[in-house]
Amino acid sequence: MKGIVWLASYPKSGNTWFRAFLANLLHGGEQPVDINQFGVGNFGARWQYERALGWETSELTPAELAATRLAVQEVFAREKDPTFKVHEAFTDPRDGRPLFSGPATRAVLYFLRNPLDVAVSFSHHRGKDLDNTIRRMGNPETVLAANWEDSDLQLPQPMGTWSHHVRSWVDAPGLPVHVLRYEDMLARPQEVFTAACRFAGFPDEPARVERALAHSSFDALRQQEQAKGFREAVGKRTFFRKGQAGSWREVLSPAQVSAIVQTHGEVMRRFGYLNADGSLPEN
Amino acid sequence: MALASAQLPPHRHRVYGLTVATWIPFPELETAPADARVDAVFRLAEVPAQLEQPQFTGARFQAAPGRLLAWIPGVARYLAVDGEEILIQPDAGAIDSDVRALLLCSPMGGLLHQRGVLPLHASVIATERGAVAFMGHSGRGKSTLAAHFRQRGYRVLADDIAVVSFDAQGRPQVAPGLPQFKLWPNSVKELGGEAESLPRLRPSMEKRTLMFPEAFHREPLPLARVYALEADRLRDDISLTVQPVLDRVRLLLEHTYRAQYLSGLGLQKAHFQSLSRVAAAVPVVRVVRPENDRFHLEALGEQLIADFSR
Repeated sequence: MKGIVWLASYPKSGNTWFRAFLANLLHGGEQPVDINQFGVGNFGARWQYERALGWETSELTPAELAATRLAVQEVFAREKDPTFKVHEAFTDPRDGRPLFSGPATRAVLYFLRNPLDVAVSFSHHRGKDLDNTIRRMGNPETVLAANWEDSDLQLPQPMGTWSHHVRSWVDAPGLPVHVLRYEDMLARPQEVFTAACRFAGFPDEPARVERALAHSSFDALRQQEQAKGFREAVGKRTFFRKGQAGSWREVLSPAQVSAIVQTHGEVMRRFGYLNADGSLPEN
Repeated sequence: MALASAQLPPHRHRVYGLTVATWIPFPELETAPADARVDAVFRLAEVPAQLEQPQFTGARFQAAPGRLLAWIPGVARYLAVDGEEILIQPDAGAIDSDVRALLLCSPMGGLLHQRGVLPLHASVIATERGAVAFMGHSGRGKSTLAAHFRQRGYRVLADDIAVVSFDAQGRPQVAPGLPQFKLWPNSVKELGGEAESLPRLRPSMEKRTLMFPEAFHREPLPLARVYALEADRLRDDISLTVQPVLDRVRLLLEHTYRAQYLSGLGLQKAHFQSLSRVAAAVPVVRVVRPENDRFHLEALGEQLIADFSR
């Protein structure tokens, strides 16, 4: 099928889990697919971007490069079954410019996770303390891989705040978006993953989904990481660390919880991470 | 090709094995004698917004047999025609050095493909055994490594594009490119220099240029060995592995300069034949270094010298 399927999320929200599942769904056999061979890459990988661009990204100014995004997506959209992972917000938080082409898009799977847990997981992933990470989640200027001029292998990826990120995708007018909450992926995997496959046009036969889920279970992924390492981990830190919902309760201080709720309360409430009266759910 | 000298532009330069005649002088290129046989022409002309029958349309290029159109808004539109000329239409207000710098990238790549030579995305140094090429994707350290070898006293043929052709005996050889490295500030620093002291490649970019006329190797050299530079987070050491022939072809294709133009130009089959000839004649070695903030130049240099001097 033509058109891009975007696996979109703020970091540490279930995107890699879904990529592991998808690799096993599409290519899996009796054994789980190698975690270092998922196949679905980041749209911001420079070598891949350059293939559609026809120039090297390092030959262009940041402004010239930014102006090529939608045209590059339209080239990929003509290929067979293009699927990319992305951490950018749908719109650039700095100027409101769309970062994704509607016509090039077939479907968006948006992965959403309680920002209290995102803060814990993202902090571990970055190797930075919780307060630093909480500030980053509230900073509209946040850009991943922003130092691309020092020959980073990925293009800069504007994310903005966690709340901006969520709203930019789920409220994008006319965009075919299906939201998966990480907590629901954990609680009801067969149902939630099947619905996502159906939405995106991936195979959805029950036995096939079940096997892919088994081969991409948290324990299966962690075992592979322990045995041979995971290229997407940063530094020497474990990527597949806990894979649980609610671990913020043991980690975050009341002040840290309150800082996140204060900045992101509205979006949290909308997706069930905060009660209507502003209190935190019991579990 | 017969280009009548009366119609030719006045300036003569040598670049990527070609003598070009151009209306715009290129201070970054070496001068060629006025009576040298001209291979290709750069001229200012009206360049169409689109090709009439593009076989492939990318985000900033179109390709058809004998035609490669490439453009960057605010700088210029370029059209490489039949391997003989590059037409240039600068945009209003474009900076001359930007127009020149970009011409030597994609439009030059199109022209080289049209001429039937094999441009690899690689830097090249001269060794006692012949030319040694370092292929790699952007950011993998091709230029930095070649600049490091220059510091060790080696002469350098090319920084960005290794133009491979076949000599009278059918052996692969590499043509000299131009005596200029393009380096990011972090590379300049790792080489022991200061980026601030070097001119920018384009005024609004951090990337710097470093000219090396004294170390430029101006004659073609037989291609002795090719390295594909890679990095891997899961490795703690540098490894060199000679590749079997089929993998050589795959790697040479992966590192062909602007390979995405080939299908539109209708040159895939001819290109594959060239790759196969190179793969049969020249060892290709995968070099994997640990992926972190540094290029490990000293250690890498030592291992490479030990390998290509054998």
